[in-house]
Amino acid sequence: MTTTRLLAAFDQTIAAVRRMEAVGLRTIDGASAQSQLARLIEELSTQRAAIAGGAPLDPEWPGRVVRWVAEWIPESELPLLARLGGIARAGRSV
Amino acid sequence: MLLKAALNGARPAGSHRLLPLTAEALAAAAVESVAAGADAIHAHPRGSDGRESLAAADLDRLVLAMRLALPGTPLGVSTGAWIAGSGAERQDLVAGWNELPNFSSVNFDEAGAAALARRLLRQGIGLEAGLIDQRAARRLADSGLADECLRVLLEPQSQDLGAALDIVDRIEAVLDRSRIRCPRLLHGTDATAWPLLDEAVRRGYDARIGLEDTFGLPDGTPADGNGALVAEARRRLQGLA
Repeated sequence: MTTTRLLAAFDQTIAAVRRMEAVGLRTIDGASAQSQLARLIEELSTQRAAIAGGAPLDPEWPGRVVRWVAEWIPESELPLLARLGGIARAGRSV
Repeated sequence: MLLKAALNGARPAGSHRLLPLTAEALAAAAVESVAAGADAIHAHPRGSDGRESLAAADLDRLVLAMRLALPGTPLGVSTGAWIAGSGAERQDLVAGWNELPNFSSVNFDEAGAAALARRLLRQGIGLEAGLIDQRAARRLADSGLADECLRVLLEPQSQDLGAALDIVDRIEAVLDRSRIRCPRLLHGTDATAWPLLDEAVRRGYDARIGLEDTFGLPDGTPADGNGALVAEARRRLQGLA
């Protein structure tokens, strides 16, 4: 049940990042965010696949990713940080 | 009991590689901390130069970033006199805030504390009374504001645990005599950060941890940011409670 919740948190976050890709999100500096978004989707997908295969969430991963995303995400998209935090919270209960 | 993450404090830029200074970095640190088990956030807003600031633009930016990243999580900010001088100056700055934090701490050992506290309350901002010693506790009692406090912060400054606990006892004697019943949060800094967190748990008080209070874990290992500190604090709260 809790793994299901964690996987759902990953799916919602991946979907949100894909929406940002689709609208051509720009970083806080005004540059294209496509490479960052692609890397984020890859990170999320890799972690999700590992968890779906029975591995626990690496407890250090969410903090690392949240700090990195905060370096380039524009202010309008800060709720993405909350989605990443949701993954961490769901991961704590698995 | 409440566990508050104190994300940066007055620590200078560069003193820890993960010390959050910008609104975005503070929001990320807050997310990390809440994910690790924090119930509320305390931050010192910074200007574009990385220094502490109570200017409306800096406060507004921080509050908005936190609201976007962590809607619903209580946010508090410092109003320390070292940030912006006299009580009157700080009152003027607070009056200019557009985006309001849930609560602010006021150090009752500082000049103009009561007036600043009243200004915050008039703006609908919750009040935390910071008490470093019994004199500050007496000033709170004499102010008539104790019933308005969200909580009192027991903040002994001594780095000697025995001396710090003695100060806490003296503060509490004043609070008890004055029948000040609002919730109590106990915290230390550096050498006393973890021992006083454990003491807070033993007394059933609210607790606080974060890079403002310490850079290290209880065994002296450098902490990998606010999230790591909060995760350890949450473990201790669950183990000792």
